[in-house]
Amino acid sequence: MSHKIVPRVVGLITVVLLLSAAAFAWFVTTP
Amino acid sequence: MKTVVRGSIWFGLYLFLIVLPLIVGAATFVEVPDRSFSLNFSAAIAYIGFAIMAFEFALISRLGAASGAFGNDAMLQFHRMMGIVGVMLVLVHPILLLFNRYGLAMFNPFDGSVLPLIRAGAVSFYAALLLIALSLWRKQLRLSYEFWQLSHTFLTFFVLITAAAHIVVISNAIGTFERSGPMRLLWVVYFIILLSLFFRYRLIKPLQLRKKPWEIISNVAQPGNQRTLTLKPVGHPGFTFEPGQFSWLITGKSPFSFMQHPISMSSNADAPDGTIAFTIKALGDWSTKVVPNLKPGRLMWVDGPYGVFSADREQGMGYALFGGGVGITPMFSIIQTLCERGDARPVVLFYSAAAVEDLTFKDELDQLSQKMNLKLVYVIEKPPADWEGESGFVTAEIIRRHLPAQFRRFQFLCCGPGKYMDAVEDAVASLGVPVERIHTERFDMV
Repeated sequence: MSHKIVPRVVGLITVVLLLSAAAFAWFVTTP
Repeated sequence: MKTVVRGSIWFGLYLFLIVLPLIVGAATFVEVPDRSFSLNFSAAIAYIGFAIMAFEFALISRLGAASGAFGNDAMLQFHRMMGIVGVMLVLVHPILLLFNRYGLAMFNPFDGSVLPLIRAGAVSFYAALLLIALSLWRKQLRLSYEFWQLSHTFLTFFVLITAAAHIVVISNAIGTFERSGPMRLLWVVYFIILLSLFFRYRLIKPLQLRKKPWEIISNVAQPGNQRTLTLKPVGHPGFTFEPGQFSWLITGKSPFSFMQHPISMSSNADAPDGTIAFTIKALGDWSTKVVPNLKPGRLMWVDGPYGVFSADREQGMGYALFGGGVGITPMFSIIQTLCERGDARPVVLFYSAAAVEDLTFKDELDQLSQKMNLKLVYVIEKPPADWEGESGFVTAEIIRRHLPAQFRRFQFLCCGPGKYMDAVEDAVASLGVPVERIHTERFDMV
């Protein structure tokens, strides 16, 4: 069932990576 | 369970390596007061996109340990989808910069007024777009598999090198995140990992294969527009494989050749003399022009075996096998192997083809069904008027009609074109078969 699982995994990874990028940007942005 | 643990470790390592530049960046950055959130976010997604692209090669570099946990077709699907995600992130990077005092000129690498660091980034960006476009539309663009493979390798390196130049120049000019020692060390380590994988794949592996040539002992045309190549090992014992696995066939002048194709073994996995056979359908340039001219006596190389699609790994009370067109080849290997081993478990083969004349191995399968517990169900798309078997496409009704009562405890193995496999997977699942018993191997790799 890889063709159904892989897109879900990639979607999940993308969300995790975007959240990480947002957290990083928030952390390094100095007021 | 072991595979699940191994898979989780590899998956965790992959994610960690992608996010690590952000962790190092956050720990070592130099504070610059006027940098906005969107500017920092833009840098962050560029880092992630770059790290994804740097590790794209690791996903398909035939690392047995990693692909063994997931299967090569899943790894390849993952490689393709992550490649698109990586390029999308890199695409958003300059768009976000538009909100931060950077003008549209940054998209023009020929504009002399633009800083060199941005021009290098623009070149990398367009090369990445080209890389993805060639992969997604290779067939529409009528590029041969060999040319595409070559261009894919060179474009990948070009993208990474221009992107690295972009980062290095930035580190000298701006250096918010890039100037720190740990960050530079990290990129050097990533570069070394990438180069090591590349050298292992393009240099060490071919050198090892060169010592283990195979000789073609026959090249026979078969029904269904296919040819079966039978090879014997020369000066080495060959290898053992699990029925259902595939190898990369290297038919160029040396094992360094780009002429490498993934093909399932179609022979008995336990052949005492070490011979193996590959059955190849005439589909593209290589299979129509090169394969028919491979004469007996010629030497070639085989990189394998690979794949987790195998009857040996999936033990059940019996097997339901589904072969669509050329997808019959691993099934034929499985059936022959089970027959040679005297395996008494029931096997039901659903073999789909456009016409009766397209059924490869039909005579051999009919003979094998006399020797073992094998039921053959030929499903013909356009059957002749006197055809008494199944016709049209494989459906849940057809599958149910031919399986014994205990079928839910069988293992289901399916190989063929993408749409065929989607239909079979859905049909089998609708019969209440747990998904962990349905195994697939996708041929349409690129």
